[in-house]
Parts: sequence; C-alpha cells; structure tokens
Amino acid sequence: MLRSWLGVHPWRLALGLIALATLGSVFLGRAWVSRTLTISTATPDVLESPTPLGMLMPVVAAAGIAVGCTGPRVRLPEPTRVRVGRLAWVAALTATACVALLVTRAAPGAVVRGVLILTALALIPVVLRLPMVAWVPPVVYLMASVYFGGQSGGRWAWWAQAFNPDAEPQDVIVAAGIWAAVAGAYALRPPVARF
Amino acid sequence: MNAVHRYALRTLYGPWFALPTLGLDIALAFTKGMPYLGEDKFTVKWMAASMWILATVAAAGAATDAARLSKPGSIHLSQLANHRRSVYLWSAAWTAIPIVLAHSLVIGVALLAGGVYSPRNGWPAVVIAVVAQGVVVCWFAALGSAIGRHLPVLIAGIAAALPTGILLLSLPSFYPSVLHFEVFGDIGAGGSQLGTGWDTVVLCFQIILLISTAAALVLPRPRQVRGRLALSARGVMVSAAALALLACCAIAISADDDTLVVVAPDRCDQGSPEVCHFHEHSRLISEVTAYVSELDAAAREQGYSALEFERYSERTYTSTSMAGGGVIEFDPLDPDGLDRWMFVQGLLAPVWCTDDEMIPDEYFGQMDRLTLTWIRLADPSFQPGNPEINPVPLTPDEVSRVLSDFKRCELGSA
Repeated sequence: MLRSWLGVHPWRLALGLIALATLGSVFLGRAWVSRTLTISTATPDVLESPTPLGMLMPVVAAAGIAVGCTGPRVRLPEPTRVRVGRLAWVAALTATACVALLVTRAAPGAVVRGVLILTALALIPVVLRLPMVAWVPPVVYLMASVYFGGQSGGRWAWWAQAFNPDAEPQDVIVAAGIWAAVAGAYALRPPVARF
Repeated sequence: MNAVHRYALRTLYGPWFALPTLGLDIALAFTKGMPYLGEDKFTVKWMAASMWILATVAAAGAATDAARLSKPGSIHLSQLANHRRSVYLWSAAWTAIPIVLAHSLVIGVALLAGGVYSPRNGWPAVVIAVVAQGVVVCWFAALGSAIGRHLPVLIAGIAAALPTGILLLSLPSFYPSVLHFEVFGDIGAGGSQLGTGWDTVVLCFQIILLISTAAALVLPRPRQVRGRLALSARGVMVSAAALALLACCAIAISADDDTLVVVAPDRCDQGSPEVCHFHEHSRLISEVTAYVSELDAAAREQGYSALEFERYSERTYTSTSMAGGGVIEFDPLDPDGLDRWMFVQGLLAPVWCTDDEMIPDEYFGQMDRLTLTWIRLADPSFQPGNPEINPVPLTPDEVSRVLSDFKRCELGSA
C-alpha cells in the first residue's frame, strides 16, 4: 500500500527540497547562531531587519513538503482511510523536515515554528489545486515579514513571528494549531493537481 | 486588452505575480513616514529597496511558466520551428514586464505625490534610472526561465527563487571589497540623496550589459530528446560565458552610478533669524522654522549672545559645508518628527572639523551640557533622555568659550 501511495506522490522532489534546505542550514549554521549573516547587510539602513539568512531555509523545506503533498492528476475514490492517510502523510513530511533542519541544533523552537507556519502557508495553494505556485505564499510572506515585520528595536510584529530567531514554547503550540487547521483541510479535500 | 493579452492571462501564471509585488511595493512606499517625498533621486533609490523582492518573484514566476512549457504535453510548443526561441522569451517577458510596469507606476505616483514636476537631475536621468531597475527584474526573469525550463513544474519556482534571493542578499556584503561595480544596481537608500546625481553613462552601460547577458540566458535554442528538453553544449557555453562576463565586469570594472554634485539650499524664509532649506524639503520645514525662532528668541532674551546666529541653513549633503561664521546647519529628515535633542546637537556640532582627529571624551560631556543649556533656555522643564548628563547649565561666557574652541577645532579643551 505504501508503494502505491509513494507512486502517486512526488516524494523524491519533496525530499530533494528538504535536503537542500538542510544543506543550506548546515552551510549557514554558524551564521544562524551568531546572527552575523542577516538580511540587514543587503537592505538600506531605514529598513534594517535582523533576519538571519538561516531563517530562510524553512521556506525551502515548506515548499518541499507542499510539493510532496501534490496528489495524482485524476480523481480517485475517497474512503475515510485515504483521508487519514493524507493527514499522516503531511505529518510525516513535516516531521521529516523538522528533524532534518534540527541537525544544526540551532534555535530549535524557531525552526519548528517556522516549518509549521510556512508549511501551512505552502499547503494553501495545494488545497486550492494549484501546487506549482505553492512557493508563492511562503516567499511573499518572507519578504513582507523581513521588510515590515521586524523593525522596531529587534522586536517582531505578531504576524511576522515565523522569522523571529527566538521562540517561546507557546509560539510552537500556536504554530502547530495553524498547521493543524490547514493540514486538516488538506486531508478532507482531494488535492487533484492541475498543471 | 486584445486577444493576445487575454490568452496570456489565461494560460500563463507569470502576469499574475505582478499583484503581490505591487502590494509589497505600495507597502514599501508608505513605510517610515515616506521621507523620500519631494526628492527625485531619493524616491527612485528608496523604491530600489524592493529590487530583491521583485527579482526573486520574477525569477520564480518565469521559472514556473518555463517549466510548464517544457513538460510533456506542452514541449512541442517550444519545438515548433518558428517558435523555438521566442516561446520562452515570450513567457519570461509576460512575467517580467507586468512587474516592471507596476514598479514604475509606483515610482511615478510617488514622484508626483511628492510634487516632483521638474526633477533636479532632469527627467532623462530619472527615466534611465527607473529603466535600469526594470532591466534587473528582466535579467532575473531570464535567469529563472533558463533554470526552470529544465526542471519539473512543481519545484521550478522555488528552485529559481532560492539562488536569486541568496545572490541578491549576499552580493552587497562583497561591495566594495571584492566587487567594484554593482551590476544589479542599487539596493536602496535610507537618507537624502541631495548632493549626489546619477552617472547616466554607467547606468546605460549597466542596462546594455544586463540586456545582452539576459538574451544569452533566455535565447539558446532548446533541443528535445525523447520528450524532454535537453541541455545543448552550445547553450550551456553561451550562458556560462554570459555569467562569467557579468562576474568579470563586477570585479574588474570600477564604476559607480552615483556622482557628487555641489548643491546649496535654494529657499529662504526672510524672518529673524533667516532659515534656508532645499525646496524638496519645504513640507518639513515649518516645524523647524518654529522651533528655531523659539531657540533664537530664548537665547536673545537671556543674554546668550554666542547662541545668536544670523542664518540657519539646511545641511548641504556635500563636503562644501557652509557652517561657521554665523551659519549653522540642520537636517530636517527625521522619520519620527523633530527630536529636539538631536536637532540642537546637530546645530552645534563642529562639522567643519576633520574626522581623522582623535575626539577626546571631554568633548562629548561639553556637547551634552551645551545642548541641554540651549534647550532649557527655551523650555526650562526639559529632561534629557540620558540621566548621566550634568544638569547644571553653562553660563553665557562658558557657552561663548566652548563655541569659539569649536570654531578653532580645539575639541574638548576645558
């Protein structure tokens, strides 16, 4: 059964993107911790934003998870166990990405929160059956957060928390709630892909 | 809108990416109290802060459409004899041009909203600078098309966005130590651009360089092998040569699109004292004039003759400072409104002294007391933000001694 599930889901592309994000995290790992390599270095003074470049990697991982959740291009039967299977599948991919990005052991709370929120955003186009633009919500959200979410003295606006390098346990719980809502929608609605 | 437009909007994703970038551009235009309003060059450079956003979205959008044209079932479109080159160019242009038009529109509206009808640098320079920004977006759309056409549709977008974002965010760190020519143009500016102009020759060179290398990325003729697009040796060589040329230019050529221009404040309010400023900053000046009159009146009433100045002038933004000899300078561009402490300190700072001298610690204590003295003349209840400042005001004699020391650049001599 697992073989036929894997056969209709592009898991190789998903794992490829998650691996790419992991490589990026390892490469940027030291800068992530020391926060020396930030987006500020590339933006003019007034828009200074203290986002470490390592915080961009959950965006790539989230796009990977969404790609892996792309369904077959034809409508298949939808018994309950298929819906449960879809929920388990997105949970497994998300868990894989979290574990992979935690390999650097840097900012674990922020990584998990980032992956959860960004995955929820990337899944929205998949639920809407437009999986090839799954990258758009995380990328646009990243850009908006970097420029307009984190400027007042190192603090982050409530809506831009996915890129804050500091995280409290309750932030992760909120992020898990957001993830669960979108993942639930994904489980209930068959994601027939239109290319 | 004709049939071609409708067809493109229906079949391509590219044109729709102009909507999120337009939103981000408008948000950028409204941030931080819009200090750029009224200045031509500052407006164009302020909006350049969104270049990495536009370029990343253009690359990813063009990659998505190029990948859709290359997938089984559509690849024959790129293989029709008379379409081979143009179909990828067509789809990349449909991503880049709407983004460029939206960005140019925001810049145009921002210029008009600031009342820039006859720009200081002239309309041709402004237009060339905006075109230079647009060409950068087109270049990254070409790069995205070159990457995306060889990738599966699902990952083409993020696979093009990642290198573009990382490249544009990390390149400025290498300038000017390794790179001497910003081939991808400005990354924005946070302060007034008066005193600088554009070097249009450099901008035109940049435009030509980017257009020619973008053509080398987007135009190589694709080849089909067993239903898939194959890399052709010639195409890879042409693209690699284009990227190498760009890298060589960035490293070997030393060029800056900024030139220094001598400017002077051109509007004066004939009051007592006289306050002069640049016409670009007229909207900011009433608050300054009111506070300056208050300071001046307080100094005259309480006998601080050293603090009576003939003329207050906006700083000239160049090395040709006019300060000294009865003229003192101010900077009206504060995003949070007039900060009295910073403003008065700016008025009294001896900007004519060269920076390379060692500034003794005593200077800062003197400066703080001097600033506090003048602010308290106008507002006796003023409390400085830093509680360590000596709260005893200076006498008129002490003030004139400190100011004459400043005039001779003997900073911190007790």
